[in-house]
Amino acid sequence: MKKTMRAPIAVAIAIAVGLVVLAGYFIPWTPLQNIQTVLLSWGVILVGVATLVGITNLVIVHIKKVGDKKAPDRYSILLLVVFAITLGAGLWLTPGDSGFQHVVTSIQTPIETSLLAILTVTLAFAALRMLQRRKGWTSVLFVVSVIVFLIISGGLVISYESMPFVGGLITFIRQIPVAGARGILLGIALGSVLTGLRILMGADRPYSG
Amino acid sequence: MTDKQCPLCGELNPDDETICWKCGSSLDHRESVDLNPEEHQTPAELVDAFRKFDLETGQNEEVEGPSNSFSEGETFSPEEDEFWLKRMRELSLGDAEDSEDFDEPDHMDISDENIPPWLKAVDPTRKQEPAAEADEEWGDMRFDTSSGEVSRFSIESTDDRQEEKYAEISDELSEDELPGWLTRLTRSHVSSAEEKEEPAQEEITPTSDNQDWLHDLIGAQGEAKEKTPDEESSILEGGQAIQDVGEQGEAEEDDAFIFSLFSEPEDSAGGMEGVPPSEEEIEPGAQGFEGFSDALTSAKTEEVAFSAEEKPAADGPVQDEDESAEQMIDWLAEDQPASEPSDTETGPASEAEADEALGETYPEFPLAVGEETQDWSQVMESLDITESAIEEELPNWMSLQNEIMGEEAEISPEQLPGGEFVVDEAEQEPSPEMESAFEATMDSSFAASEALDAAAEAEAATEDEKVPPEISPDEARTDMPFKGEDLLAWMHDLREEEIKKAEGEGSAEAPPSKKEGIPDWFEEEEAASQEASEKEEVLERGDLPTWLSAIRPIEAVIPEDIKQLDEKKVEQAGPLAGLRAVIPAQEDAIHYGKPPVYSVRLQVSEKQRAHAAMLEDILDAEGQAPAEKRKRKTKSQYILRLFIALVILAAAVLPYFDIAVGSIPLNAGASSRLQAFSTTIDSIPQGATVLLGVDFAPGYSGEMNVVAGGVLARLMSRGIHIAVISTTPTGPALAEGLMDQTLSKMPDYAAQYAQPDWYINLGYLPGETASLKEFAQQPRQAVIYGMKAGLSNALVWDTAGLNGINKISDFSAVILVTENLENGRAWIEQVQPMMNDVPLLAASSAQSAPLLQPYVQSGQIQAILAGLPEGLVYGQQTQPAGSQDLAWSSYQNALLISILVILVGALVAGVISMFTGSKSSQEV
Repeated sequence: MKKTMRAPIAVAIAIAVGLVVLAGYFIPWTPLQNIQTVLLSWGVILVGVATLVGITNLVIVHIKKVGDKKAPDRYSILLLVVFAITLGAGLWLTPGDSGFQHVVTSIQTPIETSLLAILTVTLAFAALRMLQRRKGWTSVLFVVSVIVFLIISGGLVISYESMPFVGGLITFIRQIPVAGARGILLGIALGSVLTGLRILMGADRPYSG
Repeated sequence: MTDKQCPLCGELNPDDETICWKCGSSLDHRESVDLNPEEHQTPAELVDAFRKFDLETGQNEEVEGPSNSFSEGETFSPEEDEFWLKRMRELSLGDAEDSEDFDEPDHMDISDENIPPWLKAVDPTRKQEPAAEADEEWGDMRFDTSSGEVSRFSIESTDDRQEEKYAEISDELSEDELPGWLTRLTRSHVSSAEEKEEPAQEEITPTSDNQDWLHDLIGAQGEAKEKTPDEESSILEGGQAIQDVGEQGEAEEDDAFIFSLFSEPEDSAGGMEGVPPSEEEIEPGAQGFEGFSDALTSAKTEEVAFSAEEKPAADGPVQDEDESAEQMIDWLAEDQPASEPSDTETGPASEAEADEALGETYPEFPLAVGEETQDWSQVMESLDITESAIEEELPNWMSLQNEIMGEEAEISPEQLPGGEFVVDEAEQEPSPEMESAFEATMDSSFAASEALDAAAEAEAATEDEKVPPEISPDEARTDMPFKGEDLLAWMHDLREEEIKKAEGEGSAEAPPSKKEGIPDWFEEEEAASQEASEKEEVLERGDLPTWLSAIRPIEAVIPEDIKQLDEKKVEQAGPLAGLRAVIPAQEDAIHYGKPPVYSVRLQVSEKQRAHAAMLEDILDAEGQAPAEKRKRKTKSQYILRLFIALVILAAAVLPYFDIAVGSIPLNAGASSRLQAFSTTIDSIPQGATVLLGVDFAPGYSGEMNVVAGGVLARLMSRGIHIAVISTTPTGPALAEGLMDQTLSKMPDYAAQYAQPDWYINLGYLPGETASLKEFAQQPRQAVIYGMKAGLSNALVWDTAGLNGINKISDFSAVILVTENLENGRAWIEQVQPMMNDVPLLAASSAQSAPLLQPYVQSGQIQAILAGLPEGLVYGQQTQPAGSQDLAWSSYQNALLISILVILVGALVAGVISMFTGSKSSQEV
């Protein structure tokens, strides 16, 4: 099939499916909801398959890096080896095996935890030099807010929340981020709606149609 | 380059010229003049002496003279007077220093010794009339060479002095010394001096004394010619002018007489006494004498008579008195340019012709109206003035002049420049050669002057005609003297010739004058006249104006080469054989040649090559990524960062070593948010099934395990079935670890929740948001097999804990355990709408709590348990104490250290920046 032919079909399918699924949210009609359910099932399956495709692509890329004559990547070999072992173990032991789960949790969890710890030191160091790099009232305000919220959100004053004035002040200060969060959520929501409409209208084609 | 103005005539001359082209005067001569003839060796020097008179003042002074001769306040203009004549007059006057109005230079040496006796004797005022009559005579004329004006000075105030002078002169001169003819002339003048009637004239007019003789002279020719009233009036006016001058000034009869003689411009023959200066020495005053000289020259009687008598003999034969008179008339005749002294008759016919000639060419002699002109020749005859007598009676100073002029023989006055006006007393009769030469000269001058007039008329008449030929100054100089602007041009030529002779440029040929006593200037004038005649015939082609050149026929501008070229080519064959300037038909038409070969190669210049190379380099550089410049990090940053890490780590680890244990108590009185969450959990009935969604990252497991562990402990303590599901790949594994950690703290419930009926792990839901939607709608279809089913194909929904669970709303509660907003929002958006009244609870980290708080406030989330502190507090209810203290201490210490590091570092950095900023500002 030519690209010129695939483009409008893919767009049509995408738009149709999107409209049906969206309609299923607002129209309490059983057949429509059944179709929605079916389409969602298919989507779930496609996501699973896309995950497999991504994993396969990842393996292929690393295999290519390993096979590159100009600049071979040695870490790609390690990745492929570990992947193979993990794949083999998973297939052999099944994901429900506690041993296999320990491998995941014992390796994945410390790694990510360590990354977060490094991020903590980096943020502390950045906050420390902010006043030296950027001079102004915004920098001072940021440093002050960081300290205040570290104190309040860190639970250091949780014992004082029951106090009448201090508790109210703490509660007020805690509401300040909530206000910001609301703004963020509204922005996210609007963006999501717009993105959805664009896809339904065929303006955006993330499926590269 | 600025032009020089001639002090004599006022004409502009080029800056590099030294002699005025018009009048021949010197442009730079400002020297004083020594009028002592004895000190000068050459006539030119003498003439210079005359011309240099009174150059300092530069202004003409008014001379108080006869009231009827000059209008008061008027002075002579350079065009009206001749400087040399004034000099002569001054000589005759002798010492003029006593004059009040006349500022005679000191160099002036007008002594009685220099005044010839005859000149003194001529002055009738001195002899016969008292000094009072001298007022009527010619006043002292003072010529200023710088301004070119001739001024008259008051004679009245100098009457006494002049009288004495005249008296001296007259005493010196005796009857024997004076020439007879001159004596008789003076007497005749005196007799006619009474009749005067002069209108106000600017020109010099004879005085009453000399006017008589003048009138006699004029009247002698009055019968010959019938003058028109205008002519008569002009003549009379001229005479009146002269008379006025004489009345106001000293009005010496001798001066007037001499002056009149010298003022004859046309005919150089038969000049009267006097030493006319050369052309170049004539000051503008001489030019200013134009009117007067013209008036004088128009007196045909004077000129004709005197010419007839006094015409110098150049090469012609010696003539008797009658012949000389006729010759005088001849050269005075205007229409007889080359007249030969053949006509010896001085009848009325010749005189009439002469009168006509003079009258047409020159203005009439201004005489008083009514005055009859006399035949000059008759007058001369009456006076018995013969040429020989004149020659014999030549005064000594005249002869001295001759010596000065360098003549071998004693030069007669006629031979001198302007000698035609000189009456040579001691000179022999003019030789025919001289006369002929003189006539020729005068004729040529006549011709030249006529040519000038004709040219001027032609130019004025039609502008379209050919441009009249320009006359060079040399030519102008050859014109008749005393004719308008070319008054004394001929004198300049003569002077130049004299200079050349003095420098030894004498010609090989002995001048005829030397041989025969003819002055050189005669020959020169003859040559000049010949040149003038030639030039008259062949007029110089002047510059054509633009308009004339535009209409000039093309043939005139075709170069000769082209004409000749065309003419050379003669057709040899064909029907046009023998013709010239034929367009060639065959010779040039057929010409085969090799066609030009054009190069196919691209012609590229050096500049284009350079540009192409530059473009090629730019294109090559596009594929190459620019090398990144690494920033050199200082070591202090590494050390500081390491220090901070170690400090924070130590603060977190030390409580486990019972060091720096946190002292801040964990208040059991939780916040409202914690109480609400606790209330919701407690509302779940026992034996219900709760869905626990575990969607947090492994990196947040330390915090989340504390928060979620307390919730699990509470659920376990209440005997609630727990189903765990995750939308992240690591979620099911993390859920297993969470369960094991909680059961380790609650070993009593370990055996119960080890069974698959109490703890059900539904596994991983791919598709994130979509799978949640599917699960929310049809959970049994979204999840078929559990994570622990393995390869047994056992359905997860067959367990006892999930009995009766067909949709999401069949669960008693849904507890979301997440650290980020996206997962929580997905559960809230996809699942919560399908849950109806089933509470949705959230156990989140501290970073996402503010983001999920709005959902709590909107009621989408019934309760939320956020952060480590709340989790620890909630865990104290279910979990035994002690285990949370270490966590709280570690967390508390690390938090405080972090706060401290940030605070201190910010302060230090701020202080440092303040100092560095002040230094930079000072440097600026």
